[in-house]
Order: sequence, then C-alpha cells, then structure tokens
Amino acid sequence: MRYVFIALFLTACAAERQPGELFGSVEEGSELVVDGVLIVDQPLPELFVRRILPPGQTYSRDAAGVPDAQVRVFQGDQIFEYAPDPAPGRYLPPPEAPLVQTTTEYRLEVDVGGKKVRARTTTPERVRVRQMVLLDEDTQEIMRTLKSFAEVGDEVYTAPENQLTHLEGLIEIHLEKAGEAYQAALFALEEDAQLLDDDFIEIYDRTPEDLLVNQSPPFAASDGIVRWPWFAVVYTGRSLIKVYAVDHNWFEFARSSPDFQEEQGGFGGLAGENFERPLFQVEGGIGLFVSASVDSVGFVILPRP
Amino acid sequence: MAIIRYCMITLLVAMPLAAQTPGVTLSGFVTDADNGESLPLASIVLTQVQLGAASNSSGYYAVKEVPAGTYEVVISYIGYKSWRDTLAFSDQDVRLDVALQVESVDLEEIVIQAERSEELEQATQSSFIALQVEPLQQMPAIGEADLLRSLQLLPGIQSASDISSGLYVRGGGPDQTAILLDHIPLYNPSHLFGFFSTFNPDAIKDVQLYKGAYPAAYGRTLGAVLDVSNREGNRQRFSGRGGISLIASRLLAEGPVGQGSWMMAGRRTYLEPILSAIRSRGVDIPLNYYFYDFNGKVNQRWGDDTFTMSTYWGQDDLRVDAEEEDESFADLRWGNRAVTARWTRVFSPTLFGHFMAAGSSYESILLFSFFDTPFSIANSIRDWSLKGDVDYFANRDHTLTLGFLATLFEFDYSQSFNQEEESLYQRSVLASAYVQDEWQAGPTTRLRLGGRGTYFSVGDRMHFAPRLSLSRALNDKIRIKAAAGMYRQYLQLITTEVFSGGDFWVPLDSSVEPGRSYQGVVGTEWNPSRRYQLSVETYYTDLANLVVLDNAVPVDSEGTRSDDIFKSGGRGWASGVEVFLQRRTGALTGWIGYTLGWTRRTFPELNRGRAFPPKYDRRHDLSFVLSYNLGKWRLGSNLVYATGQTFTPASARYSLREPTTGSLQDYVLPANRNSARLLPYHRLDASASREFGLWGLDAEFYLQIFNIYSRRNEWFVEFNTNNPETEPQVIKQLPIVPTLGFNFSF
Repeated sequence: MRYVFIALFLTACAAERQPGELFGSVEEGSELVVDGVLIVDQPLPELFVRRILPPGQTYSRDAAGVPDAQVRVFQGDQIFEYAPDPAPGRYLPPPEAPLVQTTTEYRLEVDVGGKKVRARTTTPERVRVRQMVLLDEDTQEIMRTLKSFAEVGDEVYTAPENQLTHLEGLIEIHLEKAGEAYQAALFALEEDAQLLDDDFIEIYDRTPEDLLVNQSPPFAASDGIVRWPWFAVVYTGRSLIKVYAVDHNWFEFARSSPDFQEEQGGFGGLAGENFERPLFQVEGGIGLFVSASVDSVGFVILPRP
Repeated sequence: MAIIRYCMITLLVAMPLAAQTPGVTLSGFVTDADNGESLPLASIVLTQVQLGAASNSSGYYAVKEVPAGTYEVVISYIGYKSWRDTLAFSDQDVRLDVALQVESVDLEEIVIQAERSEELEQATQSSFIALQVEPLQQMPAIGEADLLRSLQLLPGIQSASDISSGLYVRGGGPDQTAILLDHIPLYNPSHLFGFFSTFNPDAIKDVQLYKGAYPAAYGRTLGAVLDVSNREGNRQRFSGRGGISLIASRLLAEGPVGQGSWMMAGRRTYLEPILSAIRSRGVDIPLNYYFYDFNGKVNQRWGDDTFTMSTYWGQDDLRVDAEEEDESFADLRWGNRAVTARWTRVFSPTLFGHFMAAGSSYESILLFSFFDTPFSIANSIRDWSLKGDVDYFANRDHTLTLGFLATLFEFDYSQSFNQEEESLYQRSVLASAYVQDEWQAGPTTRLRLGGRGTYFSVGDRMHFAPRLSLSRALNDKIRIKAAAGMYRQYLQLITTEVFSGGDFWVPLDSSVEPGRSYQGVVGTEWNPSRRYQLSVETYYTDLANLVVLDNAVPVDSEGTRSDDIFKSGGRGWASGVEVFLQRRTGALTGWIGYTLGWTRRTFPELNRGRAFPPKYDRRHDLSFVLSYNLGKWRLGSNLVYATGQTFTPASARYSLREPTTGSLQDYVLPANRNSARLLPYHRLDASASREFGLWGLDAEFYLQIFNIYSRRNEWFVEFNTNNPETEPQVIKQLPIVPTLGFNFSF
C-alpha cells in the first residue's frame, strides 16, 4: 500500500508540463495576415501584410511583417497598386487614390511568392449622429440636448450643454440608421486626464494608457439609439465618442473576436471551450479587410463635486 | 395517429387473452414494515408454478392466472428479509399486502442495494440501474454527500470537473439527461454553481437511472433519465435524521398522520457567518452566499385510493460587492419550486392507476450594477402538467402500461441594460401519450415493446418514437439484453459549466428541427454467485439536429428565433463499451467500473464543418469504489482515472489593429477544435466513519478526504499574449479537501 501511495504522490507531482505541449499545428491557408480598414470619405488606408508566427517562439511584430508582397485594391475597373513602406509589412496606397466611397465594393488581392490572399468589402452608407442627449435617470426624459460638431465645430468642448458630470443622468446618442450593425469607441482627449475612479485600473486589469480608449462590443441599435454606460467613461476632460456603421466583415470579426468574447464574460459553454477562430472573411489567409462610415460627438466629463 | 394505432393493436391483442385467462389474481402492496414506505420493484414469486411479478412505483403488484392449488409465495427485496408463506388459491382473487422487515445487518450480509431490482426491471431493461441513497451517502464526498456526484462514479457517466455535479452520460451533455423528482422535472438541479445537486440525501427514497434506450414511459431528452423519488414518510412512528457538515446542516422529520404519513426535510448552508468572520479579520472577501432547500410530502390512504401531496423548494443567493459604496455589485438568485398532487387507485386487482397534477418552475435573476450602470437578466420557466399512467395486468404474459402527459410551459426572459429593457414571453404545450407492453415471451425471454407520441405546439411538431427492450436468460447465471429507441428533445438548455446559476431552458421553434437520437444497447450480465455480478454493455447513439449556443450574438440583438440564438444543424454520435463488476455482499463491497468511449460532433458553423470531439470525449474512464465494514467503523474509498479532456490548443500568434481604435493587438490563433488533450485525470478519495450513541440517538461521525494525494488535475487552458512569449496558463482543479461532520437519527 505504501508503494501505491508513493507512486500516486509522484504521479501527482508530475502534473506540470512544458508550455510547448499545449500548442497545436497551424491549418494550411492561415499563414498570411492582412489588415486594412476603409473609412468612408477618408483616403484609401494603409494596409499591412504579416505572417503568423509559431506560439512557442518569442513574438516580434516586426519579424511578422512581410516586406515583399504585391498588394492591390480594386474598385470597379480601377486598380490601386500599393507600395511597400520601410516599416516591415506596411503598404501605402498611391497618392492619387480617391476617397473611399459609400456603398461601393472594394476588393483586396495580396500576392506573396505566388500565395494569394483575397478579400472584399462593401462600404456602408454614411452614418450620422442626429443628436446626443442627457436623460433624467428616473423619468428618462431628455434633460438637455448636447451641441454637435455640425452646429458649433470644436466649440462642443466649451458649450455649457456639453459639460457632463460623472454619473449624472444617462448619455444617449440618436443615429440616423445607416447599416445593420455598429461599434463605438470613446476617446479621452486630455493629455493630463484624471481617472474618475482609481478602481478602474484593477477592475479592468488594463494600464492607464490603455484606458484612454474604450470600445463597445458590436451592437445592432435597431431603434437607432445608443445608450453609453457610465462604466465605460473612465477619464475626466474632453472626450469623443466615434460611432462606426460597420460592414459585414467588420461585424463578423468584432462579434467573434476574443475581445468580444471576454466582454461577454469569457465563457458561454464549458469552461475554456470558447477558444474559437474569429470570422475573418478572408480567402487564403486571415485578418481584416473591413469598412465603415463614422460620425462623432464631443463633450467634457467633469468629476462629481 | 401512429401511436393510437399501436395502442389499438396492442389492446386488441391483449384483451382477448385477458378474457380467456384461467385462474385467479394475486395482488397487493409491498411496504417497509419499519416505516410503511412502499417498495417499488420488489419481487413476488410463486415458486412451484414459476409465476411472478415486480411491484410498480407505488409498491403494487399483480400476478395473473394463478391456478387453483396451494403454493409458496416469496416476496423479496434486497436488504429486507424475504417474506414466505403458503397460500391456497381457489376461484377467488387474493389480495396480499406484505410489510417486509429490514434484514439485520451482519458482516456477511451487507448488501449494496444498487441492484436490488435486478429481478425484473434490470432483467428486462438494458442500461438501467436502481440505487438507494444509503450507500451513496457513505461515499467520500466534498462537504456534503451528493447524489449526482456519486452517480458520476458509475461506468458511462462522467463529470466535467471537480466543481460540477452535471451528468455527462454516454457521450451526451447535461442537457440530454432528464432529471425528475417525484416524476416531474427539475430544471436546474444544482446548488453553489453546480457544486452540489438539489437532492437532499436524507429525503431520497429511491433512485432509478436509465443511461440510455429508456422506455416509452419517459420522454423529453435525447439521452438518459434520472428519476428520483422522495420518501413518503414513516407510517409507524415519529422519526427523523439529520446531519451537520462544515458547510451545511440538514434535518428530516417524518411520522404518521391520519391514514398516512408526512415527511419534511430541510437543508441550509451557513457560509455567511464564516465569510463575515473572515471579513472582520480584515480579509477582503466581497462575497456572500447561501442556499437552502426544502422537501415536504404528505399522503393519505383510504382503501384502494392513496392521495399524496409533495413539494420541493430550493434557492441559491450570491452577492458580490465590488465596491464599498454599493455602486458596483452583483446579486444572483436562482431556485426551483415544484408541487405535485398525486392520486393512485387500485381499480381492480388487474388495473392500477396513477394520476398527477404538478407544477414546476425555475427562475434565475441577476442584478448587476457597475459604476452606476444597472444591468439585470431574469429568466424563468414554469410548467403545469397533468399526468396519468395505468397498469393493466392483462394476463400472465402481458402487462400493459398506458399513459399521457400534458404540459403547459411558460418561458419568460427579460433583460435590462442601462435602463433599456427587452423582454420575451412564450407559451407552449407539450402533449404526449405512450403505450408499453411487458411481454413474458417465453420462460427465459422478456420483451418490453412501446411507443411514445408527442405533440409540441411550438413549430407544430408531432413525432412518434418507438422503444424496444429484450432480455433472455441463457441459464440461471447469464442473461443477454438489448434495447433500442428513438428520442426527441424540444427544449434546449443554455448552461455554463462554471456558472450554472444562470442556466435557462428555451423551446426550439420552427426555425430549427428538434434534437433527435437513435440509441441501441447490447449487453450481457453474469451472476456467478449472489456476491458478484459482472455486466458488459456496448452502446451506440446517433444524434441529429443538435444545437449549440452562439456566443457571438450581439448583446442587443433582437433575434429571438432559435436560429438566431443557436448554431444549429449539428450531428453527432457516441459509442462505447462499459464493464461493471460488483461485489455485493460481505464486509467488503463496491465496484469497478470501466468505460471505453468515443463521441464526435459536427456543426456546419464550428471547426469549419469538420467533426470534432466534444470536451467530454473520454477514451478511458475507470473507477474503483470500495466500502469496508468493521462493525462500528466503516471505511470507504474511490479511485478515479480518466483520459484527459479535450481542449483547443493555440497554433500561432498574429497581430491585427482594432478597427475602432487602430491600436495593434496580439492574438493567438486556435488550432482545430479540441485537437489536444489535458493530462489524464485521477484522484483518490477516502472516508472513515464510526457509529456511536449520543443522548439516545444513533449517531455517526465521519471524516472524508477528497483528492487525498492532492493531484492538481488540469481543468482548462488559457493563452496569455501580454508578453512576447505566449504563455499558456493551465487552470487547475481542486487540491486535497478534507471535511468532517456527523449524522444522527432518532
């Protein structure tokens, strides 16, 4: 019996193993990573071509860059040849390329030594923020309507209506419907912005710099209304919310990305079982070739007295 | 229509036989002499004429066509002294109610009662196990004896983790097993996030488990059925029992009332003062938690009518305070309620009926506030059922059972985020009827033929599911058995292994097909002596129309159809071999269970449409369960070994910009779904208990040690990309957990 216990104890102690044993093999056709985000009414964007790297080796973003790719974007009959940039894996559009148009299909083709990666995106219509309002928490009546960029330009940051006290009222953004799905992000613009609550660092488990930007999960906003939660307002000072009307590719990636899964609680089935490949919508590789239109609202967050 | 046709044909065949039958009928109830509890599945045998029967779930039996003469009647039930008498039969039916005495326990005749029903039910039905709670209570456990955790030690049944009481039966998930308490479903049979089941071991009288190919009397799920019956109460005298453990106390009291009996059993945790005491010492534990449950039953018997009322009430409440000023907290409450009213009647010696009206509900409410942003989710399922089952003892070879079940379901879901509310309410009806014929097809051959027709109002579905089981004794020691059936599932469970408090059930609407399974089982049983039994079974299950929750549905999605919520169109199969060797008598009792199993799933939207093993695919699953009786001392141990669970490993690392913010993020790319395995799982548990007297009470002190060599079994793997080195983090399961407590009875 004693030997049985010793054997079992030794077996128990041997439960540790090398990290490499927990890695698997790559599926063919997943080696190249493309990264391009088209925004309506803005110039054709820079694009990135990288490789995946084995998880068992020290990761370097520079080492992942692919310097010798042929990158082309098609818009109807037009072809835009991208040029490599000194930064590894970065490719720039031709200077004469027009602005990204709404409801237009763009196709991406990347050739790396004969291996081709293809993707296509159809840009959404222009999104417009109709108004941003502050609601009374109890009655949900509109307390005041904030000034927009269209009305006062950068004076949104000094307009009295746009001075919001932390945790007072409900912030609501009303959209003119432009697509099937949206995503939004709040940017803290002050260089010396103050954290509204020191607990944010611990609760979010992020650095103060990371918390300067907070993005929402993708949402449908079928009624055209976005209610911004106070827990996603972290800093004092000038703040900007960008609302993106996103294309199918963007939406599919955002809703299936690990970031979104974490926001959903990180588990929806058995523990650890939600480690799934995001929905990339890319042929011959992985990554993003997505588009969106964007509008924004600006305001100032004041700490509670 | 098919089921009606089948009923008609069966009745047409059986009725003429019944009309022609010679002889008389011996019938009656079998009960426990000590407390008056009915004894289901007791064996009744007339030895000289080789006639016999088994008592039904109310303890009633009928032996037809007893020829005139004088015969020895033996009524037996393992764990009780057999009743023997010689009765004369002439031209009058004989009513014989028998109360069996508990067998005095000595070292040579200790019997684990897991197979007391083998005489008939187990002899007829494959994959069936009947258990009594006492041996289960003595198995080593964590904190509290637990029925579902004990069942996980049987071959063919797996656990997902140390903290889960979920049953994974023969390659199926926990949603594929129906869990019934007094014949009605419990929608969330767990406390403490799945750590414990809702079954108070003191209140349980009888446990019947069909691991697969279950008979027509049951429905609802694709895989297995666990049917738990609570005690009816002591008809003879006031008595009770209880226990105190490190985390909870429990008390059961029962006694006679009028022409029947009553029973009440309660259980509650007392973690709050412990947590509060820890907090008062400056340790920051932002947690408050308790659970309680209550079981009650009362019955009255007037002549051939028995009326029973029973109830179950259970609740969990968890509160986590993330901040001191009440701006951030989470409060989760969930619980089951059930109430039943049951009438059983002996209409004639050969016609017995059970009729029931029942209501069952499950509700969970999550209230959450995070920096003044309120969030709540409330979901509930309520059902109201009418159920009837009639046993007709047609002749010595045929016993017909016919039954119906009509259930009205109400599903309620509401969600509020930042004071924006959404809600969904659905009402549906499930109606089913079944017929089953127990056919003694020859001296050594028994058949159970049945079929169940079901109508479900959501999607206007109607299905018929045939069931069959067959057993044949090759000699007095060896029996071969087979069973097969078709099964449907109309409700889908949405659950998480680590957080069962948020479980909810939803009906599958017309946008997806309801789940379907075909099951087949073939096995053999060898009883070389009264002490040992060896059974070997092989099974195959084909699954279709499976669904899995789509985790990527946006939070404000207005899609409410099943195909909005689930990834659908899944297929799967499970197959395996189970070996079960039991030592049933003597000072040393226990079993060795081994399962060799495979299971696969294929979903068009998962793993690029390729087949993958689910997490609970286990090649090998081995358990040793031993109990050694030394007079006042009793020692026990469990040794468990299982192939490691599958998981999805990382295959590569890559970078992408977040589209909204432009910031570069590192990600890991998953390899094929569940293409790797965790290390094998194994652990050894041990227990020791000693009986003693305490102020006139029978008492028992126990010490139990879970995972005695503290094997840190792997649970799941996460991959961290915060540093240039991709760091896999293996989350471990429980280390050694000792517990102690004492039980008493009066």
